[in-house]
Amino acid sequence: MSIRALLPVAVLSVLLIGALAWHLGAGAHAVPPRAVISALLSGGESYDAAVIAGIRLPRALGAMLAGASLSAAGALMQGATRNPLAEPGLFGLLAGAALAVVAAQGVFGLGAPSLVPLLAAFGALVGALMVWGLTTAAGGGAGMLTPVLAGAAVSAFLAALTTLLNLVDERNFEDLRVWLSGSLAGLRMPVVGMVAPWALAGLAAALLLAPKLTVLSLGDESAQGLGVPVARIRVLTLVAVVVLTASAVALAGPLAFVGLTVPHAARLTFGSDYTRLLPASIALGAIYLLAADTVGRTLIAPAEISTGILTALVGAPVFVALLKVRG
Amino acid sequence: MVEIAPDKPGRITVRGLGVRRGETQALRGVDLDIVPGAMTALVGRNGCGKSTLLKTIARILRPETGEIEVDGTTLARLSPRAAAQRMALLPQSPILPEGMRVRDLVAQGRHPHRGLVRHWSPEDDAAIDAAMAATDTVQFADRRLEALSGGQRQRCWIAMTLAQDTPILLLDEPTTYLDLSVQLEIMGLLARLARKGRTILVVLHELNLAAAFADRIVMMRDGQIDAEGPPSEVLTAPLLQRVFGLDARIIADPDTGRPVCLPRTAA
Repeated sequence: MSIRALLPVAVLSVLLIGALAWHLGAGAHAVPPRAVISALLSGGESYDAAVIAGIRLPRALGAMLAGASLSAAGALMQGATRNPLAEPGLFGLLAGAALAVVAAQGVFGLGAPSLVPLLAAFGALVGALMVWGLTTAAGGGAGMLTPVLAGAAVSAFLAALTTLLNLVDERNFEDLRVWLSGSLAGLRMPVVGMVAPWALAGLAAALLLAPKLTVLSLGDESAQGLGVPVARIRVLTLVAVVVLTASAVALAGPLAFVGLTVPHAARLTFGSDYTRLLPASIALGAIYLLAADTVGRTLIAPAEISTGILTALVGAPVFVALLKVRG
Repeated sequence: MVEIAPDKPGRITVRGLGVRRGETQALRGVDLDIVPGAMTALVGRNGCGKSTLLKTIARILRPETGEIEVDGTTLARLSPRAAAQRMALLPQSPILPEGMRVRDLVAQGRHPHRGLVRHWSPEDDAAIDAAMAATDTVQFADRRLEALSGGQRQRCWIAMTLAQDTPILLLDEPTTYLDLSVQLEIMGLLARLARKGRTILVVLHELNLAAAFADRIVMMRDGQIDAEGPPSEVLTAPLLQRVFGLDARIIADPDTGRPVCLPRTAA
């Protein structure tokens, strides 16, 4: 590999390690860097080691997986739809996943953590299909805002159902309130270990789909001429997006705008070739959520700001900027 | 005129092709042999089915009846990738990928030659270099596509289809929206490629471009082929009247001897 190809890899690696160290060390109880390293390497019985291994490490891994998954899902959606505003939140997948999890727990009593990724995947798929159906009914993919409007309508509808369920079952609501705002608080290692294979499979699929999405960016007819089975690639992309979104929701609840903010930040440096954009989005997504979660935990410590609130605060201006540039 | 060499690759055979687009029957029983190693122009009025025929050969549209063979192999039996190793397509309005550099665009032409996990080979680089040299786009290699003029951009798209390294090249109205001098430049490029042995099938709107550059002209009317042959045989006043509803004289180009269509404009 040339220096030009290695430099971004080196920079992203340094940023990732830096963000991870910051996340593990900072917090209501600050742990000095040396103690972080010794806790990771040799464990131990100290309070610091218990905080690192039991609380912060699962949380950091969850942040990395959720950030990488949502960013990859956003980039995949933007490639498959050729719509720069495509993103799991704006296109109804997050609202669908959240409702499915809440409904299963509240109505059917299906609260087992192992079920959460499956429920979230089902809900994300239903949300995506509702938005797709509404967009088609409104005259197809004309204009990049049509699916965003459909996404807003579907998300509002599904969120209303979620709120309704919560009002009916207030005790459950207390448990889910923080999760619904998009939070990594209280994430434990067994849940991370259960979701990780799904997330990693989705990320691998995203990397395999990347060269096809670059070809797809030349238009459907060009892509077909270049031997890309367009319909099949779109279906496979939807499957990968649903798996990635479900993984992120199972770890951190619905985190708004991550799938929009990170790929577009990556585009500024890495261009729109998906073979570069997807790996870059995955790395930047992990870094972004590590940083957002650390800020959320330290800004008003010992209280916490949900990560989802921070990603929305950053993401909404990005959305507006994209509208101004592309609109 | 071109010798018909049976052993040249790139022979397309169309038999009994019927295609329906929505409510209308766009093609009704088309039979056609595309001569390998020559440029064939598809002409006709709007809605006559010329683009439909090209898109069906390119496998973008599915035929209702009939069959297309490429060098004796039924097209429908080929995988998308195998078909893309035999035919390259330049659609009428491909999408300009944002921020893509010319060389990266041309490199997309190598897509059908790569496996699931990408392996970049010296062969790929050689094909890209040759394609850019043939289209005179080497000097744009590191430029962004959106920074080029319409004609330069069109040459880059053609370079991408050449990098695909296929015996057959399909083009849907490649000269539309270009200045006349640029139209001539693009057609000259296609004629050179045909002389080097590629089979070129091109939908053209401009009759005189077809007459000046194509080896063969296929005239279509109402989803059927009305006439087919070298320009000097096909471009006749009665045929133009029948196919285009055009009152025109045919004169010979003093330089090339090729027919030129001169519509009567006197009131």
